[in-house]
Amino acid sequence: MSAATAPATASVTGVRETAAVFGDAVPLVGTIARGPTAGNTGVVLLNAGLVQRAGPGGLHVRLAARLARRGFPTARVDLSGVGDSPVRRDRTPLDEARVLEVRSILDGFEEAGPERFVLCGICTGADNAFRAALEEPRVCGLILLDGYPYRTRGWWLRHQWTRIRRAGPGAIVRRLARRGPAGAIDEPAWDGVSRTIPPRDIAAGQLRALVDRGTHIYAIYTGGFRDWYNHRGQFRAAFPDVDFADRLTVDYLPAADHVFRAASSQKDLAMRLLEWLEARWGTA
Amino acid sequence: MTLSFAGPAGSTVSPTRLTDGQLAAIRHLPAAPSRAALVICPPAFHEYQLCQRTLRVLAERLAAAGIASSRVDVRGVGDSVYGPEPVTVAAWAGDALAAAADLRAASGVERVHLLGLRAGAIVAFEAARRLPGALAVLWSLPRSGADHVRALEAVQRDWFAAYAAQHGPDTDPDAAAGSIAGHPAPPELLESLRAWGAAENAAAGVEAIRFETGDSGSDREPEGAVTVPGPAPWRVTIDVAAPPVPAAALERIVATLAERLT
Repeated sequence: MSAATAPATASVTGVRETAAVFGDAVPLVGTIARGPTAGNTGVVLLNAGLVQRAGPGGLHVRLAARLARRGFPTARVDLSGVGDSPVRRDRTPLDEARVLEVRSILDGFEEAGPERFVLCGICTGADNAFRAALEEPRVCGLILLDGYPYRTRGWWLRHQWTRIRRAGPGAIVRRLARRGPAGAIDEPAWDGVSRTIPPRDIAAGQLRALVDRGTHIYAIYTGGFRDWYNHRGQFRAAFPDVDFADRLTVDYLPAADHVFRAASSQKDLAMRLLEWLEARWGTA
Repeated sequence: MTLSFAGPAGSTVSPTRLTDGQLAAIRHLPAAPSRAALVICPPAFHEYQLCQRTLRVLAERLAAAGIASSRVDVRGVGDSVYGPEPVTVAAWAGDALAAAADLRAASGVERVHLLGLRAGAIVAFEAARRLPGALAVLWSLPRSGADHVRALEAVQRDWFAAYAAQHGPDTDPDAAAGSIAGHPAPPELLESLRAWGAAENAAAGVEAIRFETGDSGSDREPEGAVTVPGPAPWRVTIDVAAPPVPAAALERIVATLAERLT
């Protein structure tokens, strides 16, 4: 059995929330939200780093209710070692384990109704979603919130301008004396310790494979990530060699922080996601 | 169809939803018949996120000691949702009592006690008042609800200052409205918390076991409380490699409860 779910119950909010346990190798604890009507596209919210399935500030709980109410059954699930799910003991490398775990979530979620899936994650959640989508043809859409960052010449110019404005007029001369990059910066921008970012050329090939397969991608970057991404056009500029056709949507939300702490940012995010989802897989 | 899976020491872990799906709860039942039962009430707002792992490990260790427990997320906290009705401390206590009824049925233990950490201790205290025979196990109970809300609001001010410094002209001036560090904070809930006073409730006839974390910075007089070692779980910074759990504190708490609870 790949998943077990509690009997469905009516809900005071118009959305039914049921407990679920996914997976065979390791039990993954989750919650499925369903609205009065449910289409055949399910959304899976993956952990943002080590934050429990409720999401940063409970973002996933509220997002799931909003999506479910509009016909998108939504599962929020703790991957192994996060939140309520136990640690995996089989020594599978982490990136590989995450792909296996997402697959087991889709297997279980499929039993509950949906036939195709949109994966959504913040930061490492976006990375896990991206890697799983490459291996899993049932994934029709990806929502990548502060996903892989690739700096470009446009990023560098805006970044320097911001620093100059903050430093004051006296810094301008010193800045001008420095050389900018000769062309697009094609190496991963990330220098942190908790993310594995592929080289740009590898990512370009992976994006091509996803787009050729028909996967829709919604990349959203926040102002909290501005040291790596700072304008709407940066994603396309980083991948001039990928023909996204109509399958890529990009937004840059400068007022939002990395985990959407402000209520206004959360509402804005939910509205954008709903609009994007309904335009592609809406039930109306 | 069962939702259970095997936990440590032969225990059984069962995620569930209560009160028409609104509340998330996770039961931890020992391998052998339970000798006692305890509902665990977590802190609220950002402290929930910081303490979740600590309370999960506590539940696992309690199960190993023969004590059944249910970790309940009261409405609007953790994986539970707010409903249309106003959220107050009394409503939170009602949620804890719903978890107590569920745990009683699942464990077969008639007398269910309540444990809470920080805001959860307020909930545990209020629920114990309404549950005859229940002990309230209070871990770092705030001196008063007003004190607790002031501390939460200070966290919110610090967050907004850091956010504004990073976002500069892109700062949303309303970003801090109606929340504590990103968690919705309904006015009626904050008002209800502010109005809660431990001193007035001291004579409420609730039998309590109190634990205070040694390095919590609290100016509470630890008289009558068992001091447990830090770190204070609601103050830790999440470490990507190893989220800290105050293991020595949990050992002390479990040993005390194994001796006191029936």
